[in-house]
Amino acid sequence: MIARFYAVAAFLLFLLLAAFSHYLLSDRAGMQQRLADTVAVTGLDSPALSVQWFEPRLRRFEASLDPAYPELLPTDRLDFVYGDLYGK
Amino acid sequence: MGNNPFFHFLALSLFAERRKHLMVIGLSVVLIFLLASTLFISSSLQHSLRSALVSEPDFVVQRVRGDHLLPVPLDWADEIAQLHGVDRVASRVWGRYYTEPKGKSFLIVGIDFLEDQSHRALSKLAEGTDLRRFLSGEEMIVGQGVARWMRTHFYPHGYNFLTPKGAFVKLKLFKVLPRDSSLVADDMVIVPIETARKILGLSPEEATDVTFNVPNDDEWSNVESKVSAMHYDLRVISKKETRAAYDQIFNYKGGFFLVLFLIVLLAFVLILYQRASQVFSQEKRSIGILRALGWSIRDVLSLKLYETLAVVVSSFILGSVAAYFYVFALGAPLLRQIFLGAGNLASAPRLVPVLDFSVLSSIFLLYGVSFIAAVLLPVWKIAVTDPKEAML
Repeated sequence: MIARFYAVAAFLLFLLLAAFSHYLLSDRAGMQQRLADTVAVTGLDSPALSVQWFEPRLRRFEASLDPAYPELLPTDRLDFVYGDLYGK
Repeated sequence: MGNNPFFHFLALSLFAERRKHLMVIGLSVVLIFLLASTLFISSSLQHSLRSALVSEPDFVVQRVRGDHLLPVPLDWADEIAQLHGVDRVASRVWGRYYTEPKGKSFLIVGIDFLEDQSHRALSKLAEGTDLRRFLSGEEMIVGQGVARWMRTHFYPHGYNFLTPKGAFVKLKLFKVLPRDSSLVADDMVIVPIETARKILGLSPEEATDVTFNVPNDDEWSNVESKVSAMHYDLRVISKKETRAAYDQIFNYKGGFFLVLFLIVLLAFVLILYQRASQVFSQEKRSIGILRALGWSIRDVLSLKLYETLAVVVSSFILGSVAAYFYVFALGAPLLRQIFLGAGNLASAPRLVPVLDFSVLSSIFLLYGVSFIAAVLLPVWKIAVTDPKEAML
């Protein structure tokens, strides 16, 4: 029984070592650098959230509509007074 | 340890009741895997976004009327540049382009090549390619999600953008951004600033917003109030607010999972406790036999404690390691959609491995302490009774 116990413990240790070696060997700095390079070009660091048309894609920079009633424009948008940004 | 009879007995006991232990380990692994996966995704996204924020300008100025964005006149950038303590004033042109009304959308971003910082960063990003071809204005750099969408919609080499005036702007595919940048650029289309203006229907004197930096942190609030007082319809957004907004998004979603986990954990512990309090007659008898053989209460409790610790540690290692590889090696399929959404283009960013030991220790404490308590309390109740009664 003791041999089996050691085998299970060795297996668990192997799993831990595999995770740690993946963590240590992964190119974390390179991944972050490539991300930072893209942000340096665009100046937009908002996560690329895969959103519906009525949800904001750039948090803090875009306002969302009411997701429960996407067809209903909020009363404070005043499109009818100022016109739309893209002339739709 | 190998010659210790107590340890031999513990190993024997664990393997004798392996079916029961395996069932508990299986359930625990699923619980820990789910919670650790969500917390790993959340902490990796937050870590990546925080590091990306370094390259973000300190302030963004927008023109807002009725919570609706309007184009900013370029004169505003000149006005801001005249303030003392302000640095790197630039105008940005960006906006969402819908392939069809209420359909999929790209984020069009215009790059000003005359701006030194953007030019240098772009040269680095487009390394190994002929950047002059891109500067001609008829090429675009796209994110992985856009490239995938173009391939599946039979636009492998370029796309025709429809402007608000009804004209088409034909752009060829110049380069696809690396997968590592997908977290911020999956649905992005980078084009020269004049091309972006055409696609988004902005005049040459307009931009979407204006950005600027304030190198001295102590002047942030002063400059912010000065800029806010320039016009009645502008909004100033600082980097600190943006950071708080991102933290809020992912902490909310991670916290939501934590609450769900606590509910499930509570149910799991209740089941364990109930099961352990109605200890099977065989287990009662075995504790009674141990006591009759001269084992003290402390010995019995130590045996059960080590037994439970073996189960807890095994489950924790299996669950956490499985979650680690699921998130950082496989990219957390399905679960990442909870954080990044699935309403627009399918996003599959590579998550930067982040090991947050406070998260791991919290999971271990939440799970381990409650588990050990649920098992040891009923065992202690039996161990303190008379061995004869326990064996009945």
